[in-house]
Parts: sequence; structure tokens; C-alpha cells
Amino acid sequence: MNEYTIPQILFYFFGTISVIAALGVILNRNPITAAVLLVLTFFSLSAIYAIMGATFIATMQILVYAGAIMVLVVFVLMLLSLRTEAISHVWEYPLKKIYLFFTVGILLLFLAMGVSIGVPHAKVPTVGVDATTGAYEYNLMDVQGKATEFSAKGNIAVVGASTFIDYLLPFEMISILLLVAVIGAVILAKKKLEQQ
Amino acid sequence: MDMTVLLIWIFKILNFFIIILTGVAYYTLAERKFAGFIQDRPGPNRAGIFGLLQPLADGIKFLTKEEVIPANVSKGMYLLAPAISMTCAILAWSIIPFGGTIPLPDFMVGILGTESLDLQVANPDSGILILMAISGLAVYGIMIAGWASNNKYSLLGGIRATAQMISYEIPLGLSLVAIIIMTGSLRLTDVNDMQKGLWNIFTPPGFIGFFIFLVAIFAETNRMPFDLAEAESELVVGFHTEYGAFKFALFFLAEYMNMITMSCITALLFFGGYNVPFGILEGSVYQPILGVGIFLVKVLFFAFFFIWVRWTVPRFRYDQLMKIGWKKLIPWSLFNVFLAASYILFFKDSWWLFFN
Repeated sequence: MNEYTIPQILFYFFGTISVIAALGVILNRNPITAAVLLVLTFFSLSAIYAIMGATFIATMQILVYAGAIMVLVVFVLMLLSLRTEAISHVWEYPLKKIYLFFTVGILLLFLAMGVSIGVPHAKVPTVGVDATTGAYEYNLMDVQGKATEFSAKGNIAVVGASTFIDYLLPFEMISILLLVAVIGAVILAKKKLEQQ
Repeated sequence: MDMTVLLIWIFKILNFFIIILTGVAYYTLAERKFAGFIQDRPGPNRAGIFGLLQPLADGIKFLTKEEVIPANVSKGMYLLAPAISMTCAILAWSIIPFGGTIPLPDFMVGILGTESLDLQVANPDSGILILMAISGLAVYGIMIAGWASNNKYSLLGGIRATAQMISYEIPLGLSLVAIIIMTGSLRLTDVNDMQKGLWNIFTPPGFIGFFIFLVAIFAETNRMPFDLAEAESELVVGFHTEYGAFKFALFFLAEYMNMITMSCITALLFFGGYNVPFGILEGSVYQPILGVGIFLVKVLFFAFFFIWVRWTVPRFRYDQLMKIGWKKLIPWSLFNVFLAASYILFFKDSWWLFFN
């Protein structure tokens, strides 16, 4: 009889829920039910993040995915009058489906093997974040070349410090990408006045 | 895990649960009494003295009514919706601090094994973000209720509520960003402690932020003057048209619970929370208890303010609502974020000297 700690029990609980809910998203024929099950999946994922101590990421998971994106998805689904999807054409091309299933399965198997055996892969350098205490130590050079001590405690402070000090350039590049996407969406959605 | 910690948690959770349920029950009575006062009529006065047993009578009535489930609803979703509304409303109470660390009387020390008690169930690092996340989830209850009822009025009410809540979450979040910039932390107790010298409402970004926040919370809780989701002259009662008996009561209680929660957040973020002004009882063990009392007075005022506005101001039109949200509140709150940043950098110290 193995001894389970409370985090382990919680992990198995939420892991099971997330797998079942994710299967429900794919297999359910009613789009709204599928969307609500997807929200449940996000919830259990966020619970797993919280078990690992990453409360900030857990909160953002709920705030962004469940609170913003899925609300819009369900909103649009509600506006379209949808009937229950017919399940018949799932089995239309059985060979193709089995082939696809097989390929994805092999890839997932390799992934699982890589994780469990320990294939060496490119590791992200964790500059100055102390994983055990969650504190962030960083020696910053100011304008005069004088070293200033910088330390941040707590989840959010660590995420903020590493975003705006270590990974500032990737962060800015993502911002520009998002800006381009926003402008593109506005142009696509805009009324074309000259054609009316 | 330590048994004492678990016992304290259970004690706090049970107490908060009982307090909020009683509070909500009497808040509904207060709403009807004040409505009567404003419209120059007595209000409910048959059950008990001054109608004080009215919430109990309402509760018994809701519980003993027949649970009707209409024929063409999608049953699972229909029953899920009120549960989601109620859960989100209660969940927000897990992180609101009602006071500092208060000393316990002797007989409680023996039972709980601790000498003092934080009046907050959980104090996470990302307190304000969690509040935002929970208030964002509340929209699911309304949306699913509107869709699952299979009724055109319900669907229209649900869609209106969803669009309104998505729109007003942005100014709400941005007005909180100004507070976060001024505090330098997302923890709710830190926001409270920061206001020890000067309440946020007396600072320039806090003053502008308060009015943005106030308008946004009226829209978030679907109250007058923004209660277009249940505009009774247009949509019967909107998203809960098909709900009866205790399922309706759950929506009703969730709405009032959200109003109390929002009153707590307003008092906490802008009006000094549970800080005791003027240094009364400074250094005494009884100061935190006085702080709880002061906090409750502020919360009761804002709870009254919700009622006051409802029975005074007429309903907005839907296009007006959207215009205020997107064209007025969002630019103002973006300006407010900029103002908060320059305030904290350049003239915070001189402003504090001016007041102290």
C-alpha cells in the first residue's frame, strides 16, 4: 500500500477530471456542452498549476481562457442557431482516420518515452530564479556601471521580474506580433465603404 | 498538514458562509424596505415586527414551491446555470479580508488552539487578479441560463448580459490597474495597509478610478441603471424567465451576494478598508476589532448606495450603455493608468505631505 500525499491525491483527481472533460469536448455532439466541458478542462488544468505552486499562472489560466476567450466562444455559439451535429460522417473514411490516429499515437509515444527516459533537450536557462523559495535574485548594472541588488519575492513579482528583465526582447516581439494581429483583425472586420 | 490549521480554516469558512447567507437574506429585506421608504409606502411589514421575519418567510416559500422544469429545456445546462451563479458569488468571499489579526476570547483559544485569527480565509499573492477571474466567471451562469431555457426572451437577456459584462470588465480591470500601480502589490491586505496614511479616494488617480469603478460595478452586477438583462418592460425578466422556486432564489441571492462583494471591494480598495482613522486606540489589541466595525460601516453604506441608485435613476438604453462603456470609460481609465504612473513617480511624496 503506497502512501499518497495530499498534493498527489489532488493531482490524480484533477488530472482525471481534465482528461475526461477533454474527451467530452471531442466526443460531445452538442457544441455548447462541448464548450462548457472545455471550460471545465481549463479549470482542472489551473488546479494542477495551483498544486505546483504557480498560483499566478493558475489565475491567468482562468482569467484569460475561461473568463475571456471561452465566454466569447460560447457567446458566438449562442448567436448561431446550432443543431446537434450529426455523428455519421466520423466514420466516412475509416482508413484515413486510422492512419491519422496511428501517426499521432506514435508521436505521443515518443514524447512520453522522451520524458520518462530523459532525452537531453534544450533547456531554458533559469537566470536567478530560486526554484525552492520562489525568490528572484538579480544583479543589475545601472547607468553608471554600478551593480544594484534586486530581489523579488512571491509569484507575481518573479514572473514580472523575469519578463521585464531577462526576457524583455521576446516579450516586446510578442507585443508587436499581437499589435499586428489586432490591426489585421480590425481591417478584416471593417466595412468596405467604397463597395456600398 | 497541521490539525490546528485545518480546524481554523473550517471555522472561518463556516462562519463566513453563515454570515454571508444571513447578510444576503437581510439585504433583500433592506432593499424592499428602502424601496418602500423612497416610494412613500411601508414596505413588507406583516412577518414579525417591522417585517424582520420576511426573509425567513420568503425562504420557506421558495423551498416549498413545486420544482417545475419546462419541457423543451436542455435539462443538464438548465440545472447547472443557477449553481454556477451561486458558486461564483460565494467563491469571491474566500479572499476578501474583513479585518486584521484580531485577538480571540479565552474559551475560543482552548477550542482552536490559537490566540489570534486573521479575518480572511485565504491570502493569495494575486488577490485582485483572482477577484477579477471570479467576476469574469459569473457571466457563465447568466449566459447558460439564457441559452438553456429555450426561450427567446431568456436568450436575448442572456446575450445582453454577456455583452454588457464583457464590455464593462475592461474599465473595471483598468481602474484596478491604477490601484495596483499605486500599491505595488496585488495582495488585498497590502492594498489595505498602503492606505494607512491616506485613503486611495483622496489621491488623484484613486478619485478618477473610483467613479470608473463605480459605474463598472453597477454594470457587472446587472443592477439599475444598467439592468438591461432583465428589463421587465421588454424581456419579461430576461435570463431567468423560465426559472421558478429555489432555482430562481439562487439567481436572486447570487445577485445580492455580488452586490455585497462589490461593496466590500469598493470599501477595501478606495475607502481605506479596515484601517482605523486618526490613530484611535493605537497600539491596543482592540484596534483591529474597531477596524472590522469601521469596515462594516463602509460596506453597509455602499450596499445602501446600490439600493438608493436603483430606486432613483431610470434605466439606460442599450446603445447608450455601450457608448458609455467603450467611448467614455475606457479612454478615461487608460488616462487614469497613465496618471497613476506619473503620480507614483513624481508627486506622491508632496501629495502625502499635503494631507499629513
